[in-house]
Amino acid sequence: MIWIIYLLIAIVLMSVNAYVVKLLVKNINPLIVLFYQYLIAIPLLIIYSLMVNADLLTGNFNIVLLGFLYVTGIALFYIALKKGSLSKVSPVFNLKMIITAILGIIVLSEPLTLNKIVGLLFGILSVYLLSGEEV
Amino acid sequence: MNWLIYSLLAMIIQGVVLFLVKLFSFNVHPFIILLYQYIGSIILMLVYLLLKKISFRVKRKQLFPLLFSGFLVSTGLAFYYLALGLETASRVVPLHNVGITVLPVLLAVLFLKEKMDWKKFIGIACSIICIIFLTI
Repeated sequence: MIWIIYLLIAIVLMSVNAYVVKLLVKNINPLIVLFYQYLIAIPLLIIYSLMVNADLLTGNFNIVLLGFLYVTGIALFYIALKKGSLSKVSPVFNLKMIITAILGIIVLSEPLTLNKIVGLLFGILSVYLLSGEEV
Repeated sequence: MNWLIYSLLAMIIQGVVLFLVKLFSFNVHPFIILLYQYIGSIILMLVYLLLKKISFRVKRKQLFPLLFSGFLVSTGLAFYYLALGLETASRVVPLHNVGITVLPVLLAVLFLKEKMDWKKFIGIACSIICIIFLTI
């Protein structure tokens, strides 16, 4: 059951991060926030990789290229946090698995199950309901 | 552009990234994928910030929360991948996504005093139902 403890730690840390970022982007350019995050995240990830005996040299240039796309998504998320409320931006951003599911169906010909249809419909409904004006 | 456009674009791009990681299944440890993604990220950030001549300067009192935020995001993701290594994705992924959807909302309501109405509440509930149905 140690996995549930790891998962709870992950949820708390990542949620607190969203909250801290929301506070930071009030006064700092969201891209500068990201830059400083990575400045500490990269050495930490090297340490964590060494702790689990992951081979640092197994990465490749394609993953670095993917990082370009990754950071663009995160930067847009931080800009959204600057402009909107955390309680609306965060749920919409976390619907990213809708895109993964749609691409899986289109590109990988994964089956379109009833669960996926219901999930996609609720996702669209969620975005519609959250897209209203601030209360 | 308002927050929704940025959120949707961010959601789409991150969804594509998740899909590409799944598609190419790079056969390397998740920490290494994350590390190399971050290396790519900081390279792009540096190029963009230098081209746009955006100053890197921050106030001294802002430095700790900025670096603390870097600790939170990298350590949070590290624990997430550790959990994924110990339990099936079908249990870890939905719980994680529901958690990181609900907890920031609670923090926003409790500490940022963001207001909650029924439309917003049902919207968040729908996003949780969406996550569960897409991952079971």
